[in-house]
Amino acid sequence: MLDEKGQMHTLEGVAAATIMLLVIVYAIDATSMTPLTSSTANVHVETELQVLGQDILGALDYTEPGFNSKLKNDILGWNGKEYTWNGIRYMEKGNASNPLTNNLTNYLNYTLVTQGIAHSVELTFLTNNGTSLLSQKMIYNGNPSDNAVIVSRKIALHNSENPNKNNFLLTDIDPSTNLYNIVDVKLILWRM
Amino acid sequence: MGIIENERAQFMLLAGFIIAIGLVITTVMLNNIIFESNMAGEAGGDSIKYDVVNLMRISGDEIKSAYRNASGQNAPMKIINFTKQMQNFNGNLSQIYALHGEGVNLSLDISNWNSTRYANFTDNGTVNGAANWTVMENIINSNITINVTPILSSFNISISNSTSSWQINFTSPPGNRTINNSQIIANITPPYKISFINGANVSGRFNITGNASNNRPFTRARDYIINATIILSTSNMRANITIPVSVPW
Repeated sequence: MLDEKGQMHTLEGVAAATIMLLVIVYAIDATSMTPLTSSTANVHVETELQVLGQDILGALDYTEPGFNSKLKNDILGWNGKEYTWNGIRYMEKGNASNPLTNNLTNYLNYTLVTQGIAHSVELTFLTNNGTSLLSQKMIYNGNPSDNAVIVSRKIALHNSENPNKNNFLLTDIDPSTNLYNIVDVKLILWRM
Repeated sequence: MGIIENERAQFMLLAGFIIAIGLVITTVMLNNIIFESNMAGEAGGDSIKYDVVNLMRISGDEIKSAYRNASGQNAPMKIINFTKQMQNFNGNLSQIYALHGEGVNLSLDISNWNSTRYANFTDNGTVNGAANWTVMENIINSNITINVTPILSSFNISISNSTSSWQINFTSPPGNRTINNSQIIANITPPYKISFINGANVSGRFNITGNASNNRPFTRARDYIINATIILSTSNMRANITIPVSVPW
């Protein structure tokens, strides 16, 4: 007896499985990719942030002979306090009447804030005659995501620039020469 | 007459349906593969170039700073103090770079300074640098001190504005000259630019100070070229770069 029902059921099963597979592929494509998702595509976002961050620091650190860069002047003028973006300005933590306004904040305001890119700025320098390291937060806007990007710039400070005039934690690591300290300025960027 | 049960048409429809869906899935997946292949996935690895540029910059600046600081001291202590500052800088810089998993080393060749071999009057101070180049533009006032030692071939300082130029020729001694602002404005109307012409075959020192058009003071000066060799190494690359650093500026 020729009975094609079994064959038909098999084919229907294959068709149903194929449709399910298609739905799964479509659902994954449509929903899972966000800027914070760890994936191959996220590397693209990270690369963009990295280039943007390096460009910001590079532009701030440019100077002609005989002058300090804007970034260096910002480090020398910083009082060592922590500041947070309040939607309008960078305000001192615990003192809402004291804003931070310098070249760095101007650049960040025009670039990262307008694009909705979260960011923090951290300074690391040597202490105890260069035997240990100390980090201070200049701008802190929360803990970065797992896919945050860190770009950095190193700045050498000298005795003649009076680096601890405003920030007493910056100490002279080499009292025997004009070298005062080396600061690693880290800009941390991430997508919200 | 009974109904004829013929399921072949149903088979064909189902088979066609499955093939169509399979094609859609294949296309979507192929699209994903092409998309991922074209992503700049490895572009992030280029970030090391920024570290190299920053390292060259901070090392060059420190060499200039250490030279200027040492220049004010008595002759025997100059090179000793310069070397001490650079050694301390190198040691401390290594610790900062170690934070990022990078190793750095800076070594210097100060034989030009030791032997009083002045820099060439080229753009980068070496004999292979550009012989004709502009030192500074848009100047409103300046004083030039220059010492060409020795004058082996014709060398010119060209001071020019948009309509005329004044040539200061160095074809015979004295090679040591000072050109003050009064002399310059008697020959050229500001704003002007200062250029060196045929600077490859002569060497010496120069110091130019003054103000640019925006009243911004400037200094351009060079005594020697110090060759700095910078090594930057990470887990997957190693860069070994030698750069000529003009001192004091």
